[in-house]
Amino acid sequence: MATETAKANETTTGEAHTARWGMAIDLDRCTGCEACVLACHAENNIPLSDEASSAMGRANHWIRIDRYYEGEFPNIKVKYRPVLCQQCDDAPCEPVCPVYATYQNAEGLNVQVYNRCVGTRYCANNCPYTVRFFNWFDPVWPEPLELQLNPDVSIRPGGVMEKCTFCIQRIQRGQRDAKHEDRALADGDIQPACVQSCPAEAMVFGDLTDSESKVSQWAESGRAGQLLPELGTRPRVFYLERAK
Amino acid sequence: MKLKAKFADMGSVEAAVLALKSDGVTPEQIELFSSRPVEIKHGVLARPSRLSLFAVVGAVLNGSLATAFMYYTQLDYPLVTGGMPLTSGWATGVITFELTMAGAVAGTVIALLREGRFFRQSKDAPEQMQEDTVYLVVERAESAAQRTQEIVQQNGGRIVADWGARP
Amino acid sequence: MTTLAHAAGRSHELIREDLLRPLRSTSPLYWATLCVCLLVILWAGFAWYVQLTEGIGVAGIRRPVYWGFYIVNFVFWIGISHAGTLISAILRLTDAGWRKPVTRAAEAITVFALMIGGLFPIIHLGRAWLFYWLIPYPNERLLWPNFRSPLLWDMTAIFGYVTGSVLYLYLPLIPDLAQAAAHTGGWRAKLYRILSLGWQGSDRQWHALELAMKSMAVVILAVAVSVHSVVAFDFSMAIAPMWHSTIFAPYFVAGAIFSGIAALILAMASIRRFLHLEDYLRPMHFDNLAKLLLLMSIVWLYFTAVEHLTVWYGNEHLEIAVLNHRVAGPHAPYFWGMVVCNFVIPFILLGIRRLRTIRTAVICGVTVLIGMWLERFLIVVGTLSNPPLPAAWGDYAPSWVELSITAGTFAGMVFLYLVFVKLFPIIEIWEYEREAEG
Repeated sequence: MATETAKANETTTGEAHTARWGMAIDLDRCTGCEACVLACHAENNIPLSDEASSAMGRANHWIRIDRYYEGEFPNIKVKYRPVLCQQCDDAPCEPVCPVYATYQNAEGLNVQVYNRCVGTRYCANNCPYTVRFFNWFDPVWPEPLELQLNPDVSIRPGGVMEKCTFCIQRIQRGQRDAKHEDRALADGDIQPACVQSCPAEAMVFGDLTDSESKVSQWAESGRAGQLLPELGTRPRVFYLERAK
Repeated sequence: MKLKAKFADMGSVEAAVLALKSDGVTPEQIELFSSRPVEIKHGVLARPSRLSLFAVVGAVLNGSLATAFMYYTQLDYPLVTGGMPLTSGWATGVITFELTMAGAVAGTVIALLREGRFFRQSKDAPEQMQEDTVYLVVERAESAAQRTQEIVQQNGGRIVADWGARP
Repeated sequence: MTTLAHAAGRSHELIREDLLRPLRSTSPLYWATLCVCLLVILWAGFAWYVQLTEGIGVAGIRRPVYWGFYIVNFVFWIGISHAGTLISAILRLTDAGWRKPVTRAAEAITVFALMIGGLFPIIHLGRAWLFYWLIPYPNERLLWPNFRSPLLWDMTAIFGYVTGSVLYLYLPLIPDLAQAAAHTGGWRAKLYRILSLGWQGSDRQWHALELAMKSMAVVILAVAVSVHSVVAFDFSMAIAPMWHSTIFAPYFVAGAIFSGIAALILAMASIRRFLHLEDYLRPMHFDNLAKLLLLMSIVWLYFTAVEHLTVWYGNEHLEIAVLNHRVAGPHAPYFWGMVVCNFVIPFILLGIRRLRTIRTAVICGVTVLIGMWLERFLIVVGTLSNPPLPAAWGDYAPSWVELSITAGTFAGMVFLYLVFVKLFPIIEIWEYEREAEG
């Protein structure tokens, strides 16, 4: 099933994808260090998740580490799973938005258009992975944190939904640079912040239409699976783990 | 000439109307006024009504326009959402249904205003209507005036010269 | 002064006087209630202002419960709006004569409940000032709204229903307005005359009105069923556990009629008591409404039992998490309280004939409204608290903003109803006179 998803090169309307971005995460390598979470915050101008907002369940972590504990002391196992927007091919969040603030673009990305969002939050309710986050207030960065904001990423006002974009700004920069330099994009040229920062090199990102890319190879590994595949969302994030 | 008469109850009005009809008066020449619903036997003062036609036409028109509009917008700015097709009768069928019903309502209201002649008000309506009175107005040629008067009085009507029409 | 004589034996003049009296005389209690309602509404307005300026974060909603009190209220008020549909349309079509004094009171509830319910989709928006982006008009964004979204279905359905209901309330009001114009004076008479569209009482007009009402009854019934089904689609079209259920549309429609009857009983009891219309709204009317309420209580129980049994037996792990949370977990008091309010109390008080009085009908009306509000709360908040990934589970508590706005809408309903009752005869004079005759 993983290979079917990786190889499907058409949208349901029959257009060919120019590229299909996907990600693979090796759970056997992930140590739960949360470097990816931090990198994502820095890269994407995510509003501060301070103690008060976290206590209220309003912490914004586009990529988060879900921790599950198994067993009783002293035989406790801890499982880490970085969960980010799965960029589903059949995303349940897309059809319910009344203003087309989220839809699937030609490269298969589930894009979020901040300007269009009126904040009905239906998309967030329909996401089975709960990867969508809402800006409850206008974001405020106390000094000097506003100096480290990424100029490539817009700041979302209050009342607007946001989520992981696979660092679309890096994808666009990579494609622009390749075009200017008159070369083709190579596998590994584009790396979202989380992939780039992982010290265990547990994450890979690339084009699923390229069967030689690392992400395609990881996706076809025997250890590859997906999160909640039975819901029919056709996610493009693959999780590799040893069978239990 | 216009004959105006008052009746005490619906039964006598009905009898009078029937008598007038057998004398050759058409329903177009008769008008009744009452502060309570005019309830006489079906067919006595039969006025053809096209209300259901208006309702159906309004429904079909509005429903088709709405559906066409939705299809146009979905193809005008095609955005793939959730892997679903761009145009889908199932997905937009609800809106088609709702706007069809809205069209039926609009058709009904237009027909009501038209058939009730809300904007072509009769000048013969009494200004002040009493509770237990039904008012009859018959318009006929002068030559039939005497006969009409007799028929009306025979059926319990009280001829009135003028009951203070509405300005 | 009302006598104890049966109203049917009265002259038409006396009936007209009784039904027009509230328009002329006002008690201090009325003014006091009006002022209290106004204060609550103003406070709610302030709360909304705070929300608009500071951000919707002042409300208690959070991840994962992205919908809270506002959506619960939305569904609740749209549900109550089915009071009018049942009485006016269904009972009109089945030719139940006893419904006549009740018709306008019910339709007024419908119109005002729809207006209030229709506010909530705007209130709950993150950027409420942009709500008009859901309306299809050529714009600078070069974009049309997404008609495939259940929220657009909502907007269309509610718009159609509001228009239809307002017309359904207004059209049979026209003959009464003409009568009221003739028997009042000053600014009132002018207002009524304009609103009565120059009604003359000609047989053409009566005939056309009857036909129009018959046609509207059928259409309104179809629209009402579809409106609450569409509101149910907001939930059942989502794949969230225990929302994605095919039973939701009929479940919600039945629940709406149920809460609508409860609201109608309360409205009628108030009208009867405070406008001194004891001879027009007789125990027989309350008895019939109470029996309808009992019937809908049993229907509600059936739907609820079937829904929960299916989930429990199916043992699908995502849904079981929500079910446990609802039936045996933190929401258990609300769930079982809902069952008591919606079924146990009405079954006892209305099922036993000796206990079925106007007073117990009113008590049941209150408990059913509470129970139905709780049902919507459990559906909205319960599912959202337990999304498929357990790491994302969370809970929800409303803030003062949500509580204030909720209170404001209840006050708003009472306020609008009080104003209506003062301006227009709450019982249809012409229909009542006809019933009194025959």
